[in-house]
Amino acid sequence: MSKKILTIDDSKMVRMIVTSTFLPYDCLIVGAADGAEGVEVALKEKPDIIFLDITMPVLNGIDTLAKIRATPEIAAIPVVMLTAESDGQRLGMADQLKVSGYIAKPFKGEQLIALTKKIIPLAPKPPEPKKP
Amino acid sequence: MNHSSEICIESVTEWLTQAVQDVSETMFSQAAYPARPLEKSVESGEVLVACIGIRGDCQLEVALHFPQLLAGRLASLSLEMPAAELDEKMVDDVAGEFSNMVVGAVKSRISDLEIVCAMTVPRVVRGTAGTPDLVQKVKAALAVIRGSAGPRDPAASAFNQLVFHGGEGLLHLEVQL
Repeated sequence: MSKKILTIDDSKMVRMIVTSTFLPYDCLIVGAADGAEGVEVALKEKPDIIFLDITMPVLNGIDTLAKIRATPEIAAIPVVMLTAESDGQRLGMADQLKVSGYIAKPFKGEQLIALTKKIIPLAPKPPEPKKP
Repeated sequence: MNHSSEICIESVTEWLTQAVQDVSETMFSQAAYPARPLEKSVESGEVLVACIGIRGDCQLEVALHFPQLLAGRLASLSLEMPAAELDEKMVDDVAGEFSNMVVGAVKSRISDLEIVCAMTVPRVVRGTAGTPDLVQKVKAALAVIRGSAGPRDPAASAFNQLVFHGGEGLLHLEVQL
């Protein structure tokens, strides 16, 4: 069964990089441009993993993570912080909210894949059925 | 608790230099290196300026001036799309994210000194280099970034300019601490 990945980041560039990184895998990628939208999409799509930025308009990443953890239907979804702010202060706050991992920006796609594989199983994309 | 007076413009300049090179290479596979004094030129043409800041016990503002060609090239590389297919919003977003990553690295260094601070969301403005219109737009963006801290006191501030070769023109950075 395809894995569902949600990227919550106000940068379309980052959302597109995540999408293209997971192209070779059997995944469905969904995105949200801010924390509030991210929580709504998480409730609707029930992703297998969430990548979450910290600095965002409307609702920042830490507050978004707190909201996810406080919402029973999505509280257990693993969340990986994908952030330009990799200082101890921010990471400590995320730790308290049971974050599953961190990727510091800038990052390479291989780092995302390696960390994701530690959290959820990833299968290669099945080949396209041959046309008769 | 450390105070922002512990941080000097020289340290910030060093961190910014490292961050620009790291972001360019890692996210865009594009080398960026500091321009030598003779190579530095006055900006001209259409530019995007990404303004971003750090607020709290340390107040810092950075304005990254991307020549339009350079910004388009970075957007094309990161979004894996031909430059002709990119719209302004996409290119602005890439410039904003570039600035977010560069200043994020600096913010992490500052926070590791136990100085309490937070980053702002980047603001991107466009205009023709050196024109009063662009200067005004950048001023307005930086004023929003400074927020309740109010206008900067030039006498109490340190300022520096950095210039990098980025492939399609020179990336100019202005930093105020």
